Amino acid sequence: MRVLVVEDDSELAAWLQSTLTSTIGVTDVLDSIGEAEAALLTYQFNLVVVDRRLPDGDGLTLLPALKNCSPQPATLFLTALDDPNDIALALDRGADEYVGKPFEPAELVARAKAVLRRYALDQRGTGQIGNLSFDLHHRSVLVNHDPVEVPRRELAILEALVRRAGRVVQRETLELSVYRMDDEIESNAIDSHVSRLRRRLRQAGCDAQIRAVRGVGYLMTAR
Amino acid sequence: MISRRRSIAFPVALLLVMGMTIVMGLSTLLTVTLLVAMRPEERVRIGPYEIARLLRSAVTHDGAGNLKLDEDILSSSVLSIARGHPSFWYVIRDGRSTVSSGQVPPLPSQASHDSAYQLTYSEFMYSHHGQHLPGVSVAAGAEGGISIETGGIAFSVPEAVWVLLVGARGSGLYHLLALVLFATATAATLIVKAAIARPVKRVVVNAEQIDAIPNGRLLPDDRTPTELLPMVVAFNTALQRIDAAFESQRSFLSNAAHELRTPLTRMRLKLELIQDDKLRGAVVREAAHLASVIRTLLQLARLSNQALETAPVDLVAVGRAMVAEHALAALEQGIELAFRTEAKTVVIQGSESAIRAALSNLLLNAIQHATGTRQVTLAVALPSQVSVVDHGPGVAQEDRAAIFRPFVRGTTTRTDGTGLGLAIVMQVMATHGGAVWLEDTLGGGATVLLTFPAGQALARPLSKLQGAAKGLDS
Repeated sequence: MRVLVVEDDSELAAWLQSTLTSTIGVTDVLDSIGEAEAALLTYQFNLVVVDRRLPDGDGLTLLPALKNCSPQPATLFLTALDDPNDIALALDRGADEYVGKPFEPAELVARAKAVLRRYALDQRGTGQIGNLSFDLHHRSVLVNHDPVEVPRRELAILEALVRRAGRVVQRETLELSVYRMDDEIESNAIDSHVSRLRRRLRQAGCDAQIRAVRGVGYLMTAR
Repeated sequence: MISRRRSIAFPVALLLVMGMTIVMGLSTLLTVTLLVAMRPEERVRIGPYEIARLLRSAVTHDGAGNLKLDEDILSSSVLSIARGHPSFWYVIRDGRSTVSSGQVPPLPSQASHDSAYQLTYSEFMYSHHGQHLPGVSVAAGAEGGISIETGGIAFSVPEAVWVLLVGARGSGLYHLLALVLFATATAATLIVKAAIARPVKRVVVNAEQIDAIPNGRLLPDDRTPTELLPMVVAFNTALQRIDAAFESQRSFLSNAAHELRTPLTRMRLKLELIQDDKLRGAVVREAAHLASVIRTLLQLARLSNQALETAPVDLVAVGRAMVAEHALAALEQGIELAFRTEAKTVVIQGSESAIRAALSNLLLNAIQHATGTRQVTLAVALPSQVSVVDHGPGVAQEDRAAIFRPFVRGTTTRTDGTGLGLAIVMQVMATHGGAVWLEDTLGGGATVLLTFPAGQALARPLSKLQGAAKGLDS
């Protein structure tokens, strides 16, 4: 894994460099949009952490350059602005994740890992939560490297949950990922699929957990 | 003091009427003068004719049945002009009595008077001291009717003009002129009003489209008439000033956010270096508290300084999203967040970001105060109500009014909240014209009820068919 941090505050940049190097991978630090644009042309990164307020402008202006990279790196924006409109603007333009300052060190690392997991699932077709690994191409689930048999619909639910691990996936989203549009859905169908999936994973010794949020949906967390 | 407003159309119309009166008067005078001056034979006939007409209208009978002349008419200006001529005379007869004045010349025969029920009019010329003078004879009615003869006057041009103008009084000409003037004045008032009102209306329509969002919108001045331009320009200048003030407020908030949060971030990261776990935990909690005070303060400042951009907002979707957003943090504190609704959508007119801020603060508040209990529920109900129900210690009766004010916390609070969350909720509800209620939860705890104006709700009840549908669960 290779990480690029674009941050002009030297203290924060140094902390990000040492923390991300030890938790994710080799981290380079640059302090302006111009330098970052040049670096993106030459090197490949898996994750780019960008501050919104940089000496040569808004960090969001780096997004077009990031979109042109192949493979496209995951993006995480750091900001002191938490106006909901600012956040909506950043996510609209294609930022993957948004962390407000000040942040809890552990939360930043967790969010960065979650974004990377989503990218891994999209780009390589594999995802990992706790001791559970998920292979999208082979439609296989491994718990502690042992294969677990998961039926088609439960697998679709698991995929949706792994894709958004650490976040609540709304029931509607799960229904859309499991059923075709013209399928008739019984109101508690998703719940019974999830409870079977939970039992299956527990029996296999999985340490990732599927938790219910009543009236909303489910979320998957590593214990 | 009540200021009296008058339409500018009235003075304009008044000026127009005055102008028209002068023009009409002058043109009438000029026409009559030309007529009189260019046709001398007509002028000669005007005098006796008009005098005869005047006398006829002045004749009455007194109590004894004798002829009598109305004093008012005898003293009129026309008759006094006639009396200025020494040869002026008249004689009025009704068979029984006679009234006369001046030196009456020998008159022609009264043959014409025989014709009954007729008004006859005849002119004659006679000589007087070698001068040819005109005379007229008017006979009205049958036997017992009145006959009037007069003559001996030859008016000069100004006299003839004056007599004609005065004589025209009875013919209704002046009424007609007055009617024309009145019609013109009314039409002028209406037209002037419309002419002034149309460009003003255009400006007003444009001004009404200007919403509360400072987005640099100005009144267009390309079709504004010159007279209104200063007003439009002044209005636009005021708009630009408001936009500039808003922009500086916005940049102040963004700078404040940056200047407060960046050092706080550095500080928070340095706290990781503290070796003593207990000390680190305590200081990290303090830092988190400070961060949350700053977050809510900036939020409050933003909400109270910004005009809200409103759009249709689905309270069900927003409520569900907010529960989803806070669910993990709540779970980590051992609290299960739940969402409940009977409606598929509850749409109100409002600001989504403000409502999100309010719900977020309510949930954070409930999670913080309900620590140790099991569940916090956010419910959306028809027609436009959101409630957050916790089973914590509740809010003491004496604190209820106060906790909605900034920096006030309830006495039953054990954990350290910012004391700003409910102030934000209040602010948001006030800008939406809604209300906040605080109630006891059945079996202990607090319930905060947000009621948005119901008139704006466009709700659809949840389809009952959904539960009956057959599934394809395999």
